Amino acid sequence: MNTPDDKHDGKLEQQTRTVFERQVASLDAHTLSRLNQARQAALDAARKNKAIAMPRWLMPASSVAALALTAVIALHYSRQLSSGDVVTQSSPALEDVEIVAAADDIDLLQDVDFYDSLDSVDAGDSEPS
Amino acid sequence: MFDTLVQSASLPAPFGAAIVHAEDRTLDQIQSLNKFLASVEKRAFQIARVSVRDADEALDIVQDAMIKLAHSYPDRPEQEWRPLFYRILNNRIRDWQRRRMVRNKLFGWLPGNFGDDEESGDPYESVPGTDHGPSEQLMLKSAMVTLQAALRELPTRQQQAFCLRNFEGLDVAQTALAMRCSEGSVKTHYSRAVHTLREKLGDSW
Repeated sequence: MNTPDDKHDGKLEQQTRTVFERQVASLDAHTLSRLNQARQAALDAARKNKAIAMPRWLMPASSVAALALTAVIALHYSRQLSSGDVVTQSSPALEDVEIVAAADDIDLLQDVDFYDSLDSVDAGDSEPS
Repeated sequence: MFDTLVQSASLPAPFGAAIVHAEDRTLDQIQSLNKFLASVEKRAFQIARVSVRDADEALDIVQDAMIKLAHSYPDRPEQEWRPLFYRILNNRIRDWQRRRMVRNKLFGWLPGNFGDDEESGDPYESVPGTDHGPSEQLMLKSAMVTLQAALRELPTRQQQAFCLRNFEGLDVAQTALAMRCSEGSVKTHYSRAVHTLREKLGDSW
């Protein structure tokens, strides 16, 4: 059973709530605009946070993939080293780099056609008649 | 060799689909967050304004609370957002009050350093609100000023309990979560707040 005080308290709660809600409903345009800006700033923060974060399951998966890739590359090079290919035979791509990097051979490179024809003449001369 | 490695390193289809799914989920979450913040922002502002007595400060506090929630707790279940948001808001209000107390202690003796309450003049307060008539506006403002004055005289915890339960409509458990106290404490604070308000506001309320 409700006492008079309880009834009065209920009325007071109701009235204070009504006044509060009316005040909230009568907020001016400037305040509403500022609140909207504040909300957009918060949503931007959430978007940026989400953009940085990756799915949780992807983190271990990407770590495992990176480790596997490193292991494969290391294995590949260790095999090359053990077979001695790297020391004795450089790959064609590396030879090109050496030629381009050598400053002395720049003139030679400019007359490639001439040296090509010279090669063919030399080859013709060396053939047994 | 390296072509093979590159091909094997690219994500297979199920992984790509999972990332797209995660992006959709993020968009949904942002939309839910927007909806939630829009639903609480006005009341939160009014509650903060009761405590700090300054519209600009209250707006800053609400913005801080929104950003904190959006940055740190978007992954929490949506039903937890409301109490979490009000916990952050209450913490921000408390921090503001502490800073103000320190500032008043340090500089309160200086001449011309009057209270910076908004009663001293917020220009936007004089702008008419929505569709209430002038006399109704006046009555409303008078009632709100009386209520705010009574609320400000309450101890902080009672004020929080009353605002969260009565204005924001949180239940006892949610209020306890927001106030970081037991449900029993919430009931005690609320009951005392109601009795004190009844004494201060009189029979007309």
